[in-house]
Amino acid sequence: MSSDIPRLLQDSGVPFDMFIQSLTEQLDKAQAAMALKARVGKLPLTFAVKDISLDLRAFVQLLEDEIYIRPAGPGDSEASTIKLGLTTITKSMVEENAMDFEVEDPKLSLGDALGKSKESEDLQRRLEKIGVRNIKQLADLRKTAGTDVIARLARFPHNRLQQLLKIADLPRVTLEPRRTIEPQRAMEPRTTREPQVAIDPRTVKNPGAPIEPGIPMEPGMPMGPRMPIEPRMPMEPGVAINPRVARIPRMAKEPGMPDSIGKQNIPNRTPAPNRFRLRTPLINQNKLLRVLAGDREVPIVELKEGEMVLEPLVSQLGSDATLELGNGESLKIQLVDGYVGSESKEHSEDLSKNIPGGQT
Amino acid sequence: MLRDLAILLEELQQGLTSAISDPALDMRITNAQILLPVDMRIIFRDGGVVLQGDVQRASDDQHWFDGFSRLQIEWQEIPVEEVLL
Repeated sequence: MSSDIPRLLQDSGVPFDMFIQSLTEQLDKAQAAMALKARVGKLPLTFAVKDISLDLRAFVQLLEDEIYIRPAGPGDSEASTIKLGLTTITKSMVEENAMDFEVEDPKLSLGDALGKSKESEDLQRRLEKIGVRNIKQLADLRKTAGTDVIARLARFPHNRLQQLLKIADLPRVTLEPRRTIEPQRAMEPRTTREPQVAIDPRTVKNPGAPIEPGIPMEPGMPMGPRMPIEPRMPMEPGVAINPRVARIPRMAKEPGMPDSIGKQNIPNRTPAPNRFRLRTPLINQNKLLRVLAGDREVPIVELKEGEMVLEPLVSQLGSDATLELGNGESLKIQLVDGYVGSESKEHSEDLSKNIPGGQT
Repeated sequence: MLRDLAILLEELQQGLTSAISDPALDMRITNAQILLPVDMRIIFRDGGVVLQGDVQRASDDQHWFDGFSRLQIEWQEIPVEEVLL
């Protein structure tokens, strides 16, 4: 190795995974260059690497639970031999054997949750060795294996594991992208014989409740991109139509008024109510869940394991709410974009330090 | 002076392709296996680790090696269209 590399590093070599990466990188480079040459040369057939095996004479060391290897050089004796075999694999085989690198929510990274210290790095490595790379995976593993098994397999202190799992359980609220209702489609004449009904989502969620007036925008209130929603849905035969729900608001036509007047008074795009996505591993879709803000229930418009979408009333926006988990337990949340809950004062301090922009 | 392993592989493939494209060769080669003693080392370059490897250039100045690493490559003839870039 080069003389400008620190002596300790030269003696130790490189971590084994880095060595494998460098080997595959060289193979990829060679394969790409060979393919390019074959295409430029307009040859019908060419040779590609099918299998490659390497008997590498090297020195192997174990440093901080990682395997380091250093290829033997001139004058080195009694080196070990590492036998490596590589073969050509298909794209589907790569996908089957690759780790699932889903986009990681930065607020759920192990590094942030554990904090920045030498001990934390060691704990993070222990979890990574059993395949846990983020907080969500840890919460998932708790459901299938239990905390005792995780602590034993990862040689992880129980108190730190409980602390991590509490952070994993914290409810997180984000504002959904704003949708709009396209009134043109709702107003177009019916062309089929199928009975159809235009539904105002606010009316459906709270039958009989008065429709809230327009939402005054406050400074800092987020406005997401607008998305159209389907204004009509086919009605099942035999379903009674609620006239309050089915009626499409129109301006009454005065005698002598042109036909287009009513359409002119309808805004081109109607903003849909704000929706918030609430995430926490404690949400069990098989339980009877409720979210209460003040003395009224917050409508749940979408529910799946670990998350739900809420459509609060205007008066509930920004207010404190309670998520009832259906097992006698409940969580305090706020209907505010970017809210991150806290189980205790200790966690709230941790989060405010570790999660940029997190509100507690 | 060792070179990047990719350069060695390219040269081996080039040599193989030249050999089979010789019109005087009265046969068709579909597979080839090469077993070579190689000298390998790892260097740090461009912010990463680069694997270098090469065959021994001369037989008389390699006596200080206790033993060589061995690289075995199996080549297979395939249509150019199937080669992925």
